[in-house]
Amino acid sequence: MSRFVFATAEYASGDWESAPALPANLIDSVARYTSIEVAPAGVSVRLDSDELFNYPFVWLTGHLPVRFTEAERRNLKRYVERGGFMMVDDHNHDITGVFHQTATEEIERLFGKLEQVPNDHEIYRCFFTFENGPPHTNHELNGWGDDLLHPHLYAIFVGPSTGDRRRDRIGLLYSNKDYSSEWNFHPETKRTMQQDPTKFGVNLIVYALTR
Amino acid sequence: MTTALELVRRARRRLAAVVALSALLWGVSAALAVVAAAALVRLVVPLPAAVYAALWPLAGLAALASAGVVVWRGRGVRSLERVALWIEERQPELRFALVTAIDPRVAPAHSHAALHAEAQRADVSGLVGRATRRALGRALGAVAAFVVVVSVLQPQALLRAAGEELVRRTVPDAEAALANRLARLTARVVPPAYSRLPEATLENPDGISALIGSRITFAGSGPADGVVAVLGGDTLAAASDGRSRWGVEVTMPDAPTVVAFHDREYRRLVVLEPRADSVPVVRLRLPARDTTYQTVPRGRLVVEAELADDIGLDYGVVEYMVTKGGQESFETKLSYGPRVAFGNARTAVLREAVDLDTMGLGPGTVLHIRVVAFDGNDVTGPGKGVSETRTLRIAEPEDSVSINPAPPLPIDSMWMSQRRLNMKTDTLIRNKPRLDLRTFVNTSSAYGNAQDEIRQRAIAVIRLLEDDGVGGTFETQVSRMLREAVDLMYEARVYLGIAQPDSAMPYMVRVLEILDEIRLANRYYLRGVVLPEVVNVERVRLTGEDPAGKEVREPRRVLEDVRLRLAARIERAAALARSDPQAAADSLVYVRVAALVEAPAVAEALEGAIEQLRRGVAADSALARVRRALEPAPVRLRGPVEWGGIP
Repeated sequence: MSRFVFATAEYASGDWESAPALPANLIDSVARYTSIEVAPAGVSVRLDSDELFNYPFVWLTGHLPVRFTEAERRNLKRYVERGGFMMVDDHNHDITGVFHQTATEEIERLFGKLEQVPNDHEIYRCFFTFENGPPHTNHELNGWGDDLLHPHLYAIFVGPSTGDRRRDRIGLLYSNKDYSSEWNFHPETKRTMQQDPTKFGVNLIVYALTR
Repeated sequence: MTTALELVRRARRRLAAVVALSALLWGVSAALAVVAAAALVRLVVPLPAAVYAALWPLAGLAALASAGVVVWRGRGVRSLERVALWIEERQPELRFALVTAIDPRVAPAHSHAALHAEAQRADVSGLVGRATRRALGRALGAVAAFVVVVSVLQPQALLRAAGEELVRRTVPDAEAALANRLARLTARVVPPAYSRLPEATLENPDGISALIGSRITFAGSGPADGVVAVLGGDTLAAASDGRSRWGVEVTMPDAPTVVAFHDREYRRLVVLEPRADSVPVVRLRLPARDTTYQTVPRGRLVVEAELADDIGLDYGVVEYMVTKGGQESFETKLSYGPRVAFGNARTAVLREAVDLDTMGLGPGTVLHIRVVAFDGNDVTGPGKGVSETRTLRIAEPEDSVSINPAPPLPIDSMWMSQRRLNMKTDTLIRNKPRLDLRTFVNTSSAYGNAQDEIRQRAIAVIRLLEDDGVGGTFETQVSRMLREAVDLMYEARVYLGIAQPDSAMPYMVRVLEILDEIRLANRYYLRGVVLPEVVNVERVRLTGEDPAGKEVREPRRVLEDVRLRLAARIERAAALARSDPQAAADSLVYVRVAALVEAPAVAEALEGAIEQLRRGVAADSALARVRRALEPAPVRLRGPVEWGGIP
């Protein structure tokens, strides 16, 4: 069985590399809390390349406008619909910001409306349990960005939809909570923290690998 | 005592009854004769539908003609004189006493007693009785003969079919009123007004493909009472149009569905296949590619795009987004160029020149440009199409966009060096006739060294690109291209080293092309390479203080294959094909609606199978095509798989 490799999506517009310490931090958490075989270093992968399909979990973030190229759009759609998990995080933590507006426009153009993820969804329970849904970040609590506490994440659900059963697997998860800032620190810093804020990142990866 | 006049009157009444009865019997005989003739012919050759339709009218006409002839021949009973003369003709011994006696003006009874006495001796009753027996006997004989013939030929089915054909041709409404009002269905499709597409009328459709939002009016013959259409969860009652026709109006939904019409025990299914109005397609011609300016650009920038839409374009506009800032603080300004109307044209070109001086550009600014087009769809739209976005970056002296200070790829410098080397080699080849051998060889050899120097730089870049930071390597698209260039550089260097620049030149040209491709394709020039940070996984393994794992975890659920689900439904329907083809067709109609979205190829194959089942012919081959369409598309492998490998 191959190791899990944390991948960051490179896209043509914007600043895809704006959270450079985040991959190492989540890799550290995966190793710290789970027995998942994990590669010690993350990679970045172009959104328009076939290599994207080598990675079951891809992180996409940025502050700047997101305008995908046709090839990126095509690849992203195939990736999500064929079982990949894309985490898109608004590094601006601002619903009036340009990342949020352009990224959601691109996503909804490709997949249709983003749906609210209920706070009892299994993504909040698949490893650690988060009773109240997505954990808040310091950036939210300190009133930065849009000065809002976002109670929900949003998603594109994929999978078969038959009869009463709706599509229920998350293929793309969208967050305004700015986990990119929250988790963008050196893993060693965790030693000084009372609570490890990256535990939810473990849930994201476990969910992507097991659902 | 009965007078002569009364005798003749009585005779006339009886003769009139005989004529009437005789006319009736001969009419019946004639009609039976026509039916018998048609039945006889039908025994030999099948009758065309026109004959069926004409049979009843023909029999009626024969009956009328025959009765008319009898009535015409007996028309004398209208006149007393003619009846008296008829009697005189058969009793000449009366010597016109009866004819004279019935006229009171010529021979009143009180003055011509002898004449009247003579007339009263006439045997009128016997004469009329014999005539009655003779006339009615012949007519009854004819009727009896034809009844025998007809009863032998058993023409009931012929008469029923003839009646139905006549009704179908002459009174179409009556058929529907009496029979299945869904048998003949028309659908008038009115596309949404914005599309400017013409209306269309379809006869007996099994499926209708039209734009979402089209108004579809189904109509059939007969009264509206009891006819309903079920669409999704709605039941729509048919309305009467006042002309013995029923009608139901529906709107084309945005997902395939079935309209089920019901009329008493009759049912009919029609598939609604919505056609979505595509959003405009916008292809940006200019600017041709993303660019990084080393200085703040000035002057006018031309933006040009090709636009196309399946129905018609409404308007288009150029969108500009200027982003400034860095770290966690960014400011974005969105602006639009003037709106350009296209008047519902299907294709158009939008061209606009923007003054860069007015956009407030500066070092570190990022300008995103794209063209947005809208169609005139006022039902589900407007459809919005956007072009690719061109990203124009303006470099800062110290790149603020890059958060990792790794050096930029030296592709550009390599390209410059290779280009200069190619030009110099080309000059060397042209000057070869004027140079002495030693100078030529030395120069070529020096160029070979220069080529090798570029090659070493390329190898260094490959190492940088492929280093994963933990002693391993991973290939990237750029490194793959560079490897090809390195191989070509080696060939060029060898030829230059042995003073054969002519042979080296093709390799050098190709090297330059590859470097150019990489240079232009490298959209991440400013940001350099992000070196991944390495985690000591084994050191931290399971040292977390809050390990989870108390809860029982379920394995990943096997995803349901759409095709398997369709296959199961199709097999259930196919099992009905022999015993009840119409039920099988109805079931497949519903499967087809599901397949229209999930597996269009299966839907297409199902159409043929449904059509064959509806016609009552064997649908085995059509169902086999459906099963083939259910198979997944074959996978094309790039080459033989590795030994023991799984593709």
